[in-house]
Amino acid sequence: MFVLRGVQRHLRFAQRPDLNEKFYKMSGKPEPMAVFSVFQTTFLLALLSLRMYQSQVFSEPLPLAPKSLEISIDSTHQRLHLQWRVHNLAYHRELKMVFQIEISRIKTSNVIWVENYSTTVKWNQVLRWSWESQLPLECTQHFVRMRSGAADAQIPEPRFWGDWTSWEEVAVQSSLGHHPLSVFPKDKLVEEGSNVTVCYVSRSHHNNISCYLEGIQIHGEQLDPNVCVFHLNNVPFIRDTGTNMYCKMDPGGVIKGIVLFVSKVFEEPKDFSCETRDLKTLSCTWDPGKDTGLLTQLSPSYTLFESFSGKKVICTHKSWCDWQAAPDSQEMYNFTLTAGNDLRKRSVHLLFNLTHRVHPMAPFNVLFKNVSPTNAAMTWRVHSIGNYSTLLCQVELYGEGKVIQKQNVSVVANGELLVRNLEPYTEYVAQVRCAHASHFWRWSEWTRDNFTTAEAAPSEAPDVWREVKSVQGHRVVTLFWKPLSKLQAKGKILFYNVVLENLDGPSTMKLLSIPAPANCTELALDHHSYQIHVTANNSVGTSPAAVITLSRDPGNKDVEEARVKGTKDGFSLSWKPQPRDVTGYIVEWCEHPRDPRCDLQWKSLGPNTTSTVVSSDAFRPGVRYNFRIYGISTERIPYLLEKKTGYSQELDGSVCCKYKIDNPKQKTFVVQNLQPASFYEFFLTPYTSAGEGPLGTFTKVTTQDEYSRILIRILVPMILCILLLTILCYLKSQWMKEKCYPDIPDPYKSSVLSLIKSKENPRLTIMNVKDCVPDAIEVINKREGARKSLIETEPTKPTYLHLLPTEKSYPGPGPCICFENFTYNQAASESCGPVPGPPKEQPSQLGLLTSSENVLKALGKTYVNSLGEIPAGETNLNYVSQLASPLCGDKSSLPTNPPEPALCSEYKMQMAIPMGLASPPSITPLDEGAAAHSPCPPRSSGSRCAAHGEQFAQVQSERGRAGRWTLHPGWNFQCQ
Amino acid sequence: MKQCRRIWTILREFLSLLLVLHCTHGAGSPLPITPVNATCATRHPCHSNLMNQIRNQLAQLNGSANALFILYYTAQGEPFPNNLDKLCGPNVTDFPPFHANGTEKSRLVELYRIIAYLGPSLGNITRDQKVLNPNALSLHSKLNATADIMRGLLSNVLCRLCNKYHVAHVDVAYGPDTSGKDVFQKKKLGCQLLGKYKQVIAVVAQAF
Repeated sequence: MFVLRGVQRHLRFAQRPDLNEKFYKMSGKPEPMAVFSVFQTTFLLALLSLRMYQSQVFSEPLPLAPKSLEISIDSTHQRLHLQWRVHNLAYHRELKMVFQIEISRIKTSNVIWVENYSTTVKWNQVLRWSWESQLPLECTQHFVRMRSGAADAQIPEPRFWGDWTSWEEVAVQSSLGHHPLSVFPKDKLVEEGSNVTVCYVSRSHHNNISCYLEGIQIHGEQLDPNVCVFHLNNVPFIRDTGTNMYCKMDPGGVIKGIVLFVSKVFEEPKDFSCETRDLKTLSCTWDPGKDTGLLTQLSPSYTLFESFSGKKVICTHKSWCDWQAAPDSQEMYNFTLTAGNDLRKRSVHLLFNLTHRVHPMAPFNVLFKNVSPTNAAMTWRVHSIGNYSTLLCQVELYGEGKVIQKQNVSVVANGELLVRNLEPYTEYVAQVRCAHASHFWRWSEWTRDNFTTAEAAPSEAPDVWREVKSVQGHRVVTLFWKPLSKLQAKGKILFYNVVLENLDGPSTMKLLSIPAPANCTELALDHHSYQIHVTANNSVGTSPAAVITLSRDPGNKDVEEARVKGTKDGFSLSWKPQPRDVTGYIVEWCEHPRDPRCDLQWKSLGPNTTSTVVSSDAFRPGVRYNFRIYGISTERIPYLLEKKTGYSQELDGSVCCKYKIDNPKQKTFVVQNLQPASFYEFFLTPYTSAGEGPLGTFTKVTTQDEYSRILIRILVPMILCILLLTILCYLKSQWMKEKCYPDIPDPYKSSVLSLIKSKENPRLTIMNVKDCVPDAIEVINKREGARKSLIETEPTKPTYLHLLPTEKSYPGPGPCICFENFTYNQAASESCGPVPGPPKEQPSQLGLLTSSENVLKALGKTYVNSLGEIPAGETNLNYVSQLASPLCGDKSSLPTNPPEPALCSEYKMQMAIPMGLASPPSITPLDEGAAAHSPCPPRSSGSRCAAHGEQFAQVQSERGRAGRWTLHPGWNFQCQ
Repeated sequence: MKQCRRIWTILREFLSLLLVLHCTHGAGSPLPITPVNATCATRHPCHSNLMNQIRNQLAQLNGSANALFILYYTAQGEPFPNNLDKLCGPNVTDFPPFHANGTEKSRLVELYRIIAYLGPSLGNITRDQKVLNPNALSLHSKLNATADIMRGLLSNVLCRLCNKYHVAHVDVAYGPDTSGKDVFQKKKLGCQLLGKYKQVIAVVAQAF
């Protein structure tokens, strides 16, 4: 075998004169070469003969190697297209061959695909085969080679493969340029759910490259140092504008990306159907299904193929397509609808007989002829379908919106139907549709028209009643009748004829013609008996006459009025059956009994009826209605049988008032003179000359109580006044305070202190409260003569002046002790009572303490007047406060730092002044101090009044800054 | 005879070479500058206040350029909005230059070149975006509005050049055609151009 191949190669070499020529040229020695060539040719021919002999002997297959292998690249679809020829195949010979194709990636040894491609090869045929790569072809290089073998049954086993072709390199990368980074595939278009392989190719593997899909980093596998592959599985549809995938290279910041377009799955067409309306054109329709979402990138195409005729039509619309049928030559059709886009193709099939898919067009020219009161002839035309095709037409008749008749008619070209049992003077709508009679497929659209039947004479007599009044010896008869119903009138009522026949006199008749739509007429009659005939007339004829007789006797016999109770359904009336013959009964009432016009109503009942229910929307609660029941004799004379009266709804203890508002523009109405604390119900209804409107909804109102109104009238101003006063007091609170309860002066703020300070006496002491003797005044100032000894010697036992009277010593009816601080707060003293202010001159004030006469003089001048103004019997005490002397207060300092007598005398004494004294009180100067003179004896022996200046001042400073001093009768004074 | 054949062969090869050289010029290459001394004539008389109109149009373009840029890169999706410097940087190599300190004539000529460059480029972007982002109506509208103003501006600049400076012809260059590019590249080129436009129009509007 090896030898034979070598021979073949030599043979090929020999058969190529160009090579031989080159060989000769290269050798440079033509003569020996020519000899050698001749020898070689001879040798080879001999070998060829031998080989042919062997092939015939051993039936060895010919090695038909593939030649001229060409590879083209479809980057968009990631496909390699291979084409080649098979040489050495005999002319006009066909041979079944198998081609084994190998594809390697990155390097030839890395075979990733092996496929045997079997086909029948003809002489000089170009063979084609393609392969789709999952990896974009730009990502790395691919290599392709192939070999062939015979697969013909004529060639017995074993069969042998030929030689491999040399590896053909598919290097798309070389066309990428020198970009540092590239991402593939570009603009890939896939269906959702597919798997996509993406790669990047970098020029240098030293860079750090990260890739992102929808902003999320993805990780791949390194195919080689410069190529990384990402497998995206089951990709979803995200948006119709595609998904950006990009890779970023660091350093450098180069960003390269691709856009991945994922479409929704292209659906199969649904409801594929074809039909014809004229047997000439087939109209095929289908539902294209859901949109792929990528209409710009993936525009679908639809193709209609008919297998019997072999014709094909490219549809220009996505949901329908027309096909020219050939009814004369083709009856059966087998359609294949192929829908496809770049990613997928879908096909649906339909086989049918043309005559079974006839959808007739809507009938036309619908007419109604010979329209009588009860019948009409309906005609229509249909579009012809082929020759003599029979159609089944369906006719529907509508009256008052309902189907009243439905009929089927067979039609070839013109349809006709007699519609019967119609009502006179009634409008009808008729509609017709048709379908193929032999092979029903689909109804046509409806065609409709309307018509009105002719009039007929009224079938019923009008319902007539009368009202008889006696006016100035004459009878005024008002004749009423009810309009006939549509069924009774059978046309438009034009007028009513009223015929009066005098039964008592000579047979005379009087005809009155009253045009419609009047429903009453007034007749002035004498007291003869009359028979009245009333007929309704339309354009065709006259109705039967309604007869009523007016007898000479008015027939107003006394009939007892019975009560009847109304319900929400109306008045239920019953009466006794009449022993004599009656032709019927009439129940009469007024719908508006309070209205002068009354609005007479009646109800006609049969002779066997003895009860009825009268109902009306006009019935109002609280209104009494009167019913009269008449029997109609055989002579058509009405006679009163019974009277009934009652309320449709009784209102307990209520009174119904009705107000008429004549001005229709008036929007308000005041109901006056209502009772206080009463419940009222109102309703408002409009009225016209014809009568009142329906009963409205009641508005409930309860009037107010009269007393509560008066109370409100008093209470509200009072509350307002109090509120005003409170606000005023609040706003003027400071003024009120100053006027009514001024602040007790603060001894620390006294000008006396400044005087003390001016004398540079640092020992300022304040009265201690624990030393306070509430009911006694300690007399610390002695007479002027004894003052010196007080300073110079040890402090003597204090002398107390008891303020509160004891039971024994209190002579007066009601003590009033007034303490006054003359040092300051003159205004406060004045405001609280008629106590005069302190002396203006300081020296005289000081002198008061040193001279009892001065004290008496001052007090006598002021207190007499003031006390005189206090009503007798009051037990109030006016407390005149005394400012403590800082010098006198500090007992411990007395021996060491004796105060100046003059300074000590700056403090005013506390004095109790009995209220009962009419004359200037005999006030004992404190320095004279006798407790027996005090009108207010001490309450207990243990208590003492704060006679010490410093103790008193302390109490004041602690408690009395905002308060005042008061002294209650029979009680200790206290700080407020 | 042989000499004639040689000359003919040389001529033929030279012509072929010329043809090849000519064919190497792509659509994006600048047109050859052909100085034309033809008389300048406009079909309609120019507006009296032409420069003011030009200034207003430039101000209008400058006022809307940034919004257009933002609309564009937002519509392209990630990674464009967050990588403006890398994907939308104004590194358009063949963009016509502009010298703000030149004479009015030279500035008008340069402005003409810029607008002539931008007009078709905006047309390409608009065409691409109608396919790539069919629902970005606001972007389409703004692109169309900008192109409309540019057409008016181009006419006005030509009028001014013709009337005042008697310039009848200005050699112009066009941007690259994006029709053959992949989608990502189309997005990127559009973004770069609009970034450059935003940058340049501010300088131009200031110069006038």
